[in-house]
Amino acid sequence: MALLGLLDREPSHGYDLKRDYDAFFGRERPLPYGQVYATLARLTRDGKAVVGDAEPGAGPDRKRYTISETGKDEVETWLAEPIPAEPHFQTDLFVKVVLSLMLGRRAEEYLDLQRAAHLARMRELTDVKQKGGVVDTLLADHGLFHLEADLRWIDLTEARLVALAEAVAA
Amino acid sequence: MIRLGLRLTFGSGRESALRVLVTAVAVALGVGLLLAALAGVNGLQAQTDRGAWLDTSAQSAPPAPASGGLWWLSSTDEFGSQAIDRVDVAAAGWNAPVPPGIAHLPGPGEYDASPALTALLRSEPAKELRDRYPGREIGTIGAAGLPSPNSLIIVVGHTARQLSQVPGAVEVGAIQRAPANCYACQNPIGSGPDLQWILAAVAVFLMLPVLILIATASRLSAARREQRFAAMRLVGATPRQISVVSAVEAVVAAIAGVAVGFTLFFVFRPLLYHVPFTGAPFSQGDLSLHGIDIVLAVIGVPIAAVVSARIALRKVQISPLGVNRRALPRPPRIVRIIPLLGGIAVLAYFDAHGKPGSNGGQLLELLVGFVLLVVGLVLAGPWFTTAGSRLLVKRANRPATLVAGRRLLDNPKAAFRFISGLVIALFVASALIGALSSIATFSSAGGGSAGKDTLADTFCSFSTSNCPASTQVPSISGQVLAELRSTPGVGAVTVVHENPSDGAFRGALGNSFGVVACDQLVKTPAIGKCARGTTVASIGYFLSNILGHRSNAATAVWPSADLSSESAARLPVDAVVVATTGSSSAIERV
Amino acid sequence: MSAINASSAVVAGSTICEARNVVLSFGETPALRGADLSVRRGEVLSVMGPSGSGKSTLLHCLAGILVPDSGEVTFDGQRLAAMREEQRSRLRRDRFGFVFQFGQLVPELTAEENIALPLLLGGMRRGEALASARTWFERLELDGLERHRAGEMSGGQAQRVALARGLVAHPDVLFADEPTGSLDSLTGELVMSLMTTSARAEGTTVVLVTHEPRVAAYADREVIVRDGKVTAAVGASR
Repeated sequence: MALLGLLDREPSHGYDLKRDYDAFFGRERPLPYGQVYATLARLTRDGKAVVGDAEPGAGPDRKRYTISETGKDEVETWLAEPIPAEPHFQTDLFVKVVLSLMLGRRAEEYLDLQRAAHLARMRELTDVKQKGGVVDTLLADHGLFHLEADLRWIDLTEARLVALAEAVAA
Repeated sequence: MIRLGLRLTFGSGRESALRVLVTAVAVALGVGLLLAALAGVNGLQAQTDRGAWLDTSAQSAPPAPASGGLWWLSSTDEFGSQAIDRVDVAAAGWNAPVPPGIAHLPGPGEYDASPALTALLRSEPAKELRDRYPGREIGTIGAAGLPSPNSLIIVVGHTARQLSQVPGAVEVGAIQRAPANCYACQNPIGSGPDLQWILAAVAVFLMLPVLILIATASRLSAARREQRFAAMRLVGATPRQISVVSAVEAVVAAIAGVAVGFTLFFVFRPLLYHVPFTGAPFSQGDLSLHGIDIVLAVIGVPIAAVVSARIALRKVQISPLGVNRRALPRPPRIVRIIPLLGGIAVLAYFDAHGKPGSNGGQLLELLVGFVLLVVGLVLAGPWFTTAGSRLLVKRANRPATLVAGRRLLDNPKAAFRFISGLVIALFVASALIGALSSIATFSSAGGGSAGKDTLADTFCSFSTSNCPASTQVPSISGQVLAELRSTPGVGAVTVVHENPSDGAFRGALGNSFGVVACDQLVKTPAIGKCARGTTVASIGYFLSNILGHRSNAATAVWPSADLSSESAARLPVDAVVVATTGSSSAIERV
Repeated sequence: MSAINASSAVVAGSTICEARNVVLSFGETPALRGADLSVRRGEVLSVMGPSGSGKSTLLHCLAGILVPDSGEVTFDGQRLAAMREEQRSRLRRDRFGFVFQFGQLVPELTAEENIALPLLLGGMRRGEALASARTWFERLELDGLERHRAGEMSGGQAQRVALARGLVAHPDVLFADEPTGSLDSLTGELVMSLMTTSARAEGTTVVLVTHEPRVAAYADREVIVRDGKVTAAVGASR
């Protein structure tokens, strides 16, 4: 969807698309070329993009892609539709806590370790914020808020460990 | 630091300006009152000084020089409710001293009168006033000899030979200049030095509510200032620096207040001239301030203001953390009411057991009692607040009352502080009013109406053992008595005779003043009644008070004196008592 | 005033503030029950913990605002308990800076006067102190607010003024207690960003008390205070 959206901005070549994607969305995981072209091929096949004439020069990256009307509509719809807010009922951390209680281990220690790890990651993200631009900051903040949410859950769980242990033992 | 303090005082907006204003007003009031009291004291002193000459003969005046002095006889007379001071003089030599205010001594058949008396002489019927004085008026007594502009004084001239025969006349070598502190003094202003002490004490007591008002004003917006000072303490202001800053505000307010107070005083001083502190208005220029008075006000009041503000802010200075955590103060203990009870006890004790003898002792007792009372009120206030608010909480029906009661209980000291100034002011004001009205009663014609209608002339105002032989009047001629009795409006005349021997007849009430025939006494009931079945009664020491209209003896019952009426009638005469119908003309004619 | 630590690397790692077995109670309520903490010179340390854990109290002890009932607090090798209130006040004035939750500015003074306050209290001449203060307005994006009264500013502006005041005397340690507590997220981020940047630029140590992880994330390491005791968590320094 990101590639389609980029295409909506202006018709581009494959490698322009990759470059732009990496710049804005692919901070930590740059998109492999293969994946770019595969996605572009799929979009063309689905009628959301139109491939233009090949320009002089070798290779598939010389083809120019343009977004179609169908494609534009799809981008529009996708933008307008909110992401489902789905609370996760099953996460690794949750499993860890419950298991440790079942096994009679000290859950507090695991929680503390997790907290420290979360905070370390938050420090890294904050560093990014200080040194990067607005876009980086936005991304980092997103991660930070999620990590903070996890930390809050960790604090609450810690407070409820005794009750949880009883419930689990039953 | 001072600059910072000034910056904070002046640049802080409306709340702070209001606080400075209230403090300045309080200081201005205090200064004004203080200056008025000081001026009053000075005025009293000036009046007393000017009246000193009237007491010349009452002192052990310098004896007359060989070249001859001045014969002097002073007495008091009355017209309506006003007293007239009369001095009969006669020159015994070339260089006889002259009383202040007159150019030269009046000769026989002449008199000098004060301007007020001169006016009276002209306006009143002659038989009631003018006829008392032989001769004609040759001059007016100038301001230097008048304690007060409306003093009624007359100096009557005689020949030396005439005057020297009159019992009570004394030859003096000089006129009294300094005020005398004596019991029988003529000086109408009264016991000068004592009254001055009382006024000074009043001034001090009046300052107390002012000081408390200043302290209360300093507490205004205390929370805001606590925040400000806490912030400064956080960034490293030392407690001393904070004191300087808060002192600056108090000093600024004090300086402004002193300036306004002085202005108030000078503006209102003309009005003060009309206030009769002692019944005698001041002459122009009496209410002046000495240099030391000004220094005292200019320096003393701001210092008191600063100290008062410092004490009020003592608790604020400490924590950089502001008011976040505070333990509730302990409730006031009952020992607080001890000074108040002590003050009441002191005053009540003396009231019941009789006042200490000397003036100084009385003053000490009053001062100690009052100081204990005032201090006691301030100390005991919080305890009373606690007791009252406990009651309030117990009987609270509505939530608002309950909340109010609890808040009072939490911090009764703070609650009482708000009204303590008012409490002290009310206390001082009521004490002052009580004192002033009793002074007024004291000095005006007291006693019952019967007392007012009864006149007396005493020939010897001391107790019997002190009467010099030369002042004794052997008897009153029948002609005089007949003339008296025939004056329209006169009911009866009673003659009081002197006690025949020293201390032989001591009545139950102390030293005997004199003896009187009961058939005469019955017609002048104002000075008492005979005990049943007596013919001659011994009148007690009180009589001088009665005759001076300072107390009412109509209910006094005098015990018998063991004399026959004939032998009593032969005794020298101490006083003549006349009962009248009360009409003013009758009174004045007598 | 302390000299600017131009290269914090030289003295980094040595302890600048230390609390050893500090016990403090408010009346009946114990706040600290034997807290131990070492603050390294030049670091940004966050002190975390739930409310009521005693973390603010610990900060107050380190800064010499409160004197513990027992235990020892040292700054730069000197025992704070051995000092009189005058000395501790001067310490706060010259060697420490403070940014607390509500700014604690003097409402009647202007922004520049507030910033200059520690200098003025130290006896610096008014002109010089205000000039020093003015250099901070641009650094902290406060241009134009010099003459505004402290009471007329927004929360974020006030906190930045407080930050400037805390740094104007080039202190050794900046103590911050919930500095963003009364601010919205964006303003809070700005304040924290400016705080850590400026502090690191000057080589100032920062002790930051907070219960918010996103604020604590600005620090180099964190410690957790629970029930009046310090449990140091594992934290890799930057």
